[in-house]
Amino acid sequence: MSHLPPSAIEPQGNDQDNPDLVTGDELTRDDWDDLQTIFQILKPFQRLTLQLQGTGTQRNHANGYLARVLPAMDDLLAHLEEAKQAYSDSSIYSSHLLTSINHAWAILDRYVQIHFLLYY
Amino acid sequence: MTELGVLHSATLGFERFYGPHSGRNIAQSFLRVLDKYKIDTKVGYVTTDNASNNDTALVELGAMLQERNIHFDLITSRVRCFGHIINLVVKGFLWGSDWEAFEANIAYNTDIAKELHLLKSWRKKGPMGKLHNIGIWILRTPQHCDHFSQRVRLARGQEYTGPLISLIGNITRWSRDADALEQAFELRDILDGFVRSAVTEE
Repeated sequence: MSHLPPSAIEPQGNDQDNPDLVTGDELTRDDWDDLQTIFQILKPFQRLTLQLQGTGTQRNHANGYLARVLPAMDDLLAHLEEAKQAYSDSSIYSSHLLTSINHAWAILDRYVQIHFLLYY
Repeated sequence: MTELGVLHSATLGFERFYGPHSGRNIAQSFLRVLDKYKIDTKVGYVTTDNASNNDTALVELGAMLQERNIHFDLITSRVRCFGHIINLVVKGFLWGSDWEAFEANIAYNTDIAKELHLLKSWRKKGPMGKLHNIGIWILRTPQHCDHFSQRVRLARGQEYTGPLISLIGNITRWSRDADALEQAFELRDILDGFVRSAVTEE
C-alpha cells in the first residue's frame, strides 16, 4: 500500500484537512498516453484471466486446465518480451515503463521455470 | 468423475479456521476434511496459491500421509493457481516493490539506485498513482461522488448508462486495475475537468 498517500487511507475527515490531496494529480496528455500504453500491456493478462478462470463462461469448456495454463504462461512471457522491445526507446516512452516490464517479466519467468522443471 | 467420464467439482469442506494460518494448521485442517470423507488415499493434485505457508502446508501434508503409509509427492502434486501468478506479475508491473528484476536488467547503463528512486516517485506520482489518488478523492465524500456523477450526466445526457463514478484498483484482484483504466478512458474529459476545478477551488 506504499503508493497511497497517508491521507488517502484515512477513513474519514473533511476536505479542509487535506486541501492538497489532488493538487499535482492532474493527468497530463503524456500521462494519458502512458495509461494507454499500460493498458495495452495489461490487456492479454486481463483476457487470459477471464478465459482461464474457474467455471468459465461457456459450459463444457476446459477452462483452467493445466494443458491450457502452460501455453498461456508462455504466451504472456513472450508478450512481455515483445513489450520490452516495443517500449525500449526512452526518447518516446518513459524509461520507468521498461523497468516495470522487466520486473513483471522476472516474476513471471520464476514461475515459468518452476513449471518447466515439473512438466517438461 | 462420473461413470461417463465427466469431470465434476464439489465443495467438501468450508471449515472455520482457528489459530494462525501456518502450514501445519492448514495441513491439519485439510486432513480433517479428507478423514471426514475417508478419502485420504485419493489425493491427486492440490491447487493453492503461491504463498509460502501453502508450501509448508504441502510438506506437512506429505509427512502426515507418509505416517499413514500413503504416498504423496508434494513436488509433482502441487498445482499453482494461475490467477494468482497473473496477479503477482501484474501487481509487480504496476506497483512492484521488490527489486531483484533490476539485477538481471542488463539493458540499463544508468545508475540503479537513482533509477529505483525515480521509479518509486513515478509510482507514487506517475499516471497510475495520480489516477488512484483522483479515484480516492472522488470516493472520499458523498458530495464528491454526487458532484462527479452530476458532471457525467450533464456531459453524457440522460440516456447515458455507463459508469458514473471512477473506480479505483483493489489490492487483491488486479483486474480491478484494468477495469479502473478502462473506465478512466471512458470518463477522461470529466476526470480532467473535475480535478481542474477541485484544484482551482482550493
